[in-house]
Amino acid sequence: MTIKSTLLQVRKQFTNNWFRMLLASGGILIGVWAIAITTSLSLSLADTIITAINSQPGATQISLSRSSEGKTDFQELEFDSEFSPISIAEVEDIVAGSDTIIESYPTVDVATYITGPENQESCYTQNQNVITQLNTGTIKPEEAQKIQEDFRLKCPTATIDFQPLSLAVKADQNKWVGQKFDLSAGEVAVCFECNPNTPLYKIFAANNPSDLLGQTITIDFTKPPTVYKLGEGISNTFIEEEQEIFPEPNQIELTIRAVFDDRDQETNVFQGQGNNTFYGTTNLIQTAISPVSDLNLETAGFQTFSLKTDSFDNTAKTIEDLQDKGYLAGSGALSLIQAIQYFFYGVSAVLGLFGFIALIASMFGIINVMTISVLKRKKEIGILKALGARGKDIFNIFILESSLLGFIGWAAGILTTYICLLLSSWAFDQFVLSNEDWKQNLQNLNIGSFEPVLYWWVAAITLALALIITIISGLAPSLRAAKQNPVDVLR
Amino acid sequence: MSLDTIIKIVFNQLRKKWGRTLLSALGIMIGVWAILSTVSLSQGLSDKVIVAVNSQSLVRLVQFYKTTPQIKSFEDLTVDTQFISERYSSLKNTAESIPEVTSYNPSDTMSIYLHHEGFSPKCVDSNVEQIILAESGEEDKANEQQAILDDQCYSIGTLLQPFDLFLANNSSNWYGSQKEPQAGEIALCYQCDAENPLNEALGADIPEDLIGKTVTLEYSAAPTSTEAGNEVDLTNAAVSTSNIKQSVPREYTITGVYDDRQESLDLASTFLNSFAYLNYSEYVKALEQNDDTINTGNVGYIEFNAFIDSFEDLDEVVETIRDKDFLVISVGQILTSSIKTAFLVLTIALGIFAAIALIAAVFGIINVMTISVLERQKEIGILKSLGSSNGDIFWIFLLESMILGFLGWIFGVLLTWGTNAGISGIFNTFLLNNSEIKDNLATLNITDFNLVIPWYILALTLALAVIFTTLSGLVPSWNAAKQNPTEVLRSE
Amino acid sequence: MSQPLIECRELTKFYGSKKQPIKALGPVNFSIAAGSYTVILGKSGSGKSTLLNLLAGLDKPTDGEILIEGKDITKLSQKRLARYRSEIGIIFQFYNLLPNLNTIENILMGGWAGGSHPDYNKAKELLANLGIAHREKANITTLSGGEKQRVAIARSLISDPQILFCDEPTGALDTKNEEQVKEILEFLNKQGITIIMVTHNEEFVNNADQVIFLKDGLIQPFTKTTEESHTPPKPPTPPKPPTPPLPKVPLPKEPAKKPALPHDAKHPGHGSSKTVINV
Repeated sequence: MTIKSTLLQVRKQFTNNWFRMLLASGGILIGVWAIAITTSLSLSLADTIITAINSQPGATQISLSRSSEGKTDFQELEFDSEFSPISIAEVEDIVAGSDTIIESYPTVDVATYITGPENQESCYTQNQNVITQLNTGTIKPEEAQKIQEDFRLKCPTATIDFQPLSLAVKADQNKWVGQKFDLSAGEVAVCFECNPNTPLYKIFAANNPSDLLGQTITIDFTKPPTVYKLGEGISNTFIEEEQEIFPEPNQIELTIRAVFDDRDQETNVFQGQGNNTFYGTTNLIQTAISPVSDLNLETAGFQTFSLKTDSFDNTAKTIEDLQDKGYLAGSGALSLIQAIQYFFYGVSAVLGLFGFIALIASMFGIINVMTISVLKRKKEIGILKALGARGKDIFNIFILESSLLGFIGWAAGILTTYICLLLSSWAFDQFVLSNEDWKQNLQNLNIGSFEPVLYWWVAAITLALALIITIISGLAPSLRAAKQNPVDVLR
Repeated sequence: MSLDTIIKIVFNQLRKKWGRTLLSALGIMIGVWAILSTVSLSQGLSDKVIVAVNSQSLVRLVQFYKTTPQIKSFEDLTVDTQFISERYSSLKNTAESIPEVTSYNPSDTMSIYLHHEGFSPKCVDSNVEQIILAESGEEDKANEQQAILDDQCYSIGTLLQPFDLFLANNSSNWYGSQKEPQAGEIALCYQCDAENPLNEALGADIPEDLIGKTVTLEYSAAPTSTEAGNEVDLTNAAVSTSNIKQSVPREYTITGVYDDRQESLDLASTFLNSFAYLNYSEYVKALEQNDDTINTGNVGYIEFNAFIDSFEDLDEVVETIRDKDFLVISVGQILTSSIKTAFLVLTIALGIFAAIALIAAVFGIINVMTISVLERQKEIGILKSLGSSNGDIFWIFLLESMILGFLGWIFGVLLTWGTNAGISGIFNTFLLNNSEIKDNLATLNITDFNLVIPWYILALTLALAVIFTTLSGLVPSWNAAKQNPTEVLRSE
Repeated sequence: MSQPLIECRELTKFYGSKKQPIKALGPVNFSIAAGSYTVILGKSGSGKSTLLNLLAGLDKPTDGEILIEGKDITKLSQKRLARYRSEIGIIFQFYNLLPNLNTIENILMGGWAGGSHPDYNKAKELLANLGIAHREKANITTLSGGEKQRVAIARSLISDPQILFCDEPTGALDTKNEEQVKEILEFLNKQGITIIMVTHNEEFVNNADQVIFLKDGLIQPFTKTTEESHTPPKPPTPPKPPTPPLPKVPLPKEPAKKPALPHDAKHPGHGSSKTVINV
């Protein structure tokens, strides 16, 4: 039989029995739709979440350390891993040598007391006194508690972050007043409230953030920051509270150059900052360690540095480069993104499995229909054979029919999926974006719409599955038709 | 037409075209199997997780508090809720009135110094001296004193909780008496601090060596309890410990030791590792030593603990204590209900997905029924000529599709039993060959994994299968019934 | 008998669409007496089969009335119409037996289809009387044409019908079987069953009490070589004396001992003491 006549037979069958054919491919439609829509929605959801993550400052932030054991991935670390301190100079070299890193600063814990414009007795000293009295039993615990409460009102605490001011301001542009470029020595950027229970502005009797600009603030370090000697190892298990005590109070006066209005602030998880954050220059570290150590900024090493890349696209590559150089580098945001990807891949796989099972279920219906079809067309087959068609030709006709069923089902399934995806995008616009609050929040996360995508490989895989299933279903009936003896029919 | 005639005709048809019947039923089978398997797995997992959780001794702990305003359960907690410290006698009365409670104690902590052998000065005094030296700038002397202190005095914490809980948390590594230490007795951790092991300080090579030994002990910091009737805001609770003013070294006999060197899988024990256990009366003594004006009868505690026999009694005990106007928090209850809810949601979601396979199979049924009607036009005409009504014809076809659904369901159930048995078998065999994992799971009370089909899902899938197939047979059956017999009776 | 068994008034049947209706029958008016032997004669396309279908309740007319014992069956619900069909008998040219049932089951189905529970022994008796007792459990595809028609007749008789409709009953049979069927029908008529037969074979007219001759859907006067047939109905004929046993049909039992078909002890007498429509 010629190809043309084969196709003619198939076409006739479909046009004459279009309803039956449609029903037969219905099961395939369901299976394909199930697989396609679950995959598309979950992967698109993952993408949306990842876009949100990448909109946050954390997406351009890299943590840099050095492991004594040469490990380069934070996930490889164990509880007792050792680190090797890195100096500021070394990191500056790295930044200079990289075209994607724009800033760096040490991640150091420097907590201070804030004493305000009047030079009171050093908060640090006050605190020490209470501790001593308690330890020696001079005062009862209840008294100590009372003193502590008063103390907290008079001496609120703040943490100093060494992130360059220009970067900090960029993250929350409209909340900052004052200077926008990096600070110099002796300058500080403060939070306006810092702690709702013990607000900073109260100490200064200020009404607006701008009132604080130019004023002097006195700080008292609560304890020396943790710096290490270059070349010596840092062990994580040794988290002993080394109560290093300053021999004498070390109050420092700083000029306020910028103020962050944090009055309605909620903590932003990805920025990893609390509310009571000051920004200062690294020479404050020097000031803080000098009373207790002879290390200085050149000889001191830090456990971790924060690096800032120019765009979140470059974060992954930058981390790789750093790891190649032997550093321990990682990004919380990136790890989160990876985790989310794995999670959603997993979810798609499981849900897609159900769609696959649906395809299997529809298989039986197709075998049934094909078998009946063969039985009904006994006469037609007999005539064709009498006219010279070979068994192979008959086989081709029927197998082509069943694969066509698969194809039609697949096409219908993909079309349905596509419509559903459009609908979900529309529904998102209608119901989610219509709410102004949500719209604004989402925009802050760089999410303007939800446009799920039907990936080409999903369409390809489902096509392959549909065809395989329908061809397998059609095998037995087609073989039966091919083997039919024409004599039976043409009596 | 009478019902038995209809049934006879339907079964005749199903039997004659058995191949078709089988294929149709197989499609439904897959759909039913998908739903049943998913639910079996999900529920099985849920049950095992709950068993594991309930194997933890922490689940048998019930904590209760007096609050103002008076609330009964965890969900009612607000920022304004204040906790009131209650007398010990209140705890005692409540706990002893409930037979299922095996032991009880308020929550409290205290630090102690254990003297190494032969050290005569008091540790507490030694410590105070060290602090004074340090404060006055005598660094070297202070360091000297500190070194002596480290050498001769071992500092550990003690934990007050129901002794049975303490015991349960460490039962796999317990040596010595399993009775609660009385006044003058102490139960200890063997190592306590990996950096500075107690057993080395006491010169014991094996845990058993410590049993019966006597140690000299001083309270080093006062317990955290407060005066009864005080309101405490937990968010601001400054756990301030002050050193004991007077210290009286006393001898204590070690009655029990637990080997805390290995990690155990009992989750609670990883948190509570490495504490010593002293009787409640010792805490009272410590309070008296610290402040001889204190009225120990008026000492109050914020948190009371009751430990029960078995977690099956948990709900009942919680209710009983609630009736006595306490706020009761049971970690066991909270965990179990969260897990159940989470898995229920998961089961429902996955079950709905599995139902998609059933829908796919239904298309095949519609098709087959349609074809069947077309094929049997003559039969329909004949029956009508013999006196069958439209209704009879309708039921002949509809019943056929209903039975297909039922058949498919039966196959589905059988197949699920098969795969469930298979999965259970594989898991159980795996367990048999992997003694390490087996032992680990055994500590969680998980000994086997047997999948079961919950009865409600059997009923649900039956309903679904029959409903779907019936619906799919509706239109073809209706068409068959409406048929005009005249044309078909004339032809050959 | 005060009223005729069957009466038709202005009976009409149209096929096709509203735009292009095709008239198959009518309007026709006639009546048929109980116990009579009526032949509906005509060529193919004359509307005779249409008329039979309407009389047998297999189809509904476009217009007109069909009164069976005074009740208009055209107004009946489909359920009641089905009931009517279960109480009459009908045989077809191509037998229309159910291929998935065997002989005796086919006969019993005549009752089952209408919801009744016919006696198994009665079916066996019918088989015996028709000379096909040996074919009781046979697959009907193995039966000859004559045997099939006899099964069909037995089936039609299982519910003791008062009317037996026949649509070209001998059209597919050879001469010998045709004769047999003819005799059976005459026998049944003598037992009191009203026979209404559709045929194009004029020979059947000889036995008929009444001939309804259709041409292009309308009743025409019938002229045959030997007899005249009028549209007006003939008066009912007096009961004929019992005929001797039919020699060509092998009857295993003695005619005297054989209870008359379809009468049995419950229905003594001759003629239609039973009403056709129990609705």
